[in-house]
Amino acid sequence: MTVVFPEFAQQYAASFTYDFRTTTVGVIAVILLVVLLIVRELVTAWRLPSGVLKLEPIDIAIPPLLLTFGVVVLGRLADLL
Amino acid sequence: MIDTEARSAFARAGQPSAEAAVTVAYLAGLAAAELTLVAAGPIPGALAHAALLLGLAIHATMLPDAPYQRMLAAITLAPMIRLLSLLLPISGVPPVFSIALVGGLSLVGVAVAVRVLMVRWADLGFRRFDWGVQSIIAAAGFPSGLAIWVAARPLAVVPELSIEWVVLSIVVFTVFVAGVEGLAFRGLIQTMARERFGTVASIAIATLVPSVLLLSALDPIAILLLTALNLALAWAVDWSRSTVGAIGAHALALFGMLVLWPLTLG
Repeated sequence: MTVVFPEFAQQYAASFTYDFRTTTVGVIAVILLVVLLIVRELVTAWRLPSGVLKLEPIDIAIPPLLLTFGVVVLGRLADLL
Repeated sequence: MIDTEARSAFARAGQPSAEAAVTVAYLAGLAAAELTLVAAGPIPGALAHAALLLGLAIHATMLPDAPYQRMLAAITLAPMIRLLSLLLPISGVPPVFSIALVGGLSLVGVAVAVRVLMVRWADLGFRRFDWGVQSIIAAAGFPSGLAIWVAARPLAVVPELSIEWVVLSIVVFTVFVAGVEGLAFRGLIQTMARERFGTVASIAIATLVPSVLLLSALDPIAILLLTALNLALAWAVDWSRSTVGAIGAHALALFGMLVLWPLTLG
């Protein structure tokens, strides 16, 4: 009933294991993150002299996806330990 | 010379309709990605949302700095929130914890967007607002939550109605759901859309983006009522020039329909 966590996501979390979700949707998110980082580097190299850092619209999704990647890695490490 | 001026004037006049068409196409893409999620499952749905996010982010980055570019950049928050909501939920604990985790990381995206898009908190109505007006707007969330619960009967997201769970759910709903959705959809997207397309279109866009992301609710009455709530909140933000009351109304509606009513009347 919310955009942040709809019923579909609730059912999905209950129906599939964390392992399955991180090796399917998680892989998609990681590939997206890598592509965004590559595009970000290309845009920086194309637009600005080296050493200058300017925030771009492409940066919006990068920090949350990086943090999500960290959460997933920590979750899997916790499973191993 | 006259011909060149006439042609550039014609191009300028044609630009808003082209930009409006592209915006509609992105909204249709968002709806298609959400329907893919429902019809084909989480993996094709996540792929569709990831492709949309990538397209929006690259498109916005390539455009010159302008309200339209910033609006497209703000819309990237929508597929991002959906990807996080598919990946992060924790099973085996009350859903309120999953909401906090997904909402917390989404809030990071919103904070980055506020910085990238150079939006001042005052532009979102956080500095100066009329407490009386915003309190009345916020209070409207209470009956809205009851109406949605009566129509759709969603399940509670906490196990019991104790002080601890009530406080936790109010904090989570206010900061991580209503705060995130209010700032992303009715703060950033609506503000940028108003600068480019005017009041009516901005209210329509700020209503459609979250409503499209609720298509997976599958209950047509719930979708209709939540769309009406989104429309009312977008209108309230436009009218009062502040997101504070709308965030309060949304949080109260969520608390009613996901905690109070299911655990007392359910």
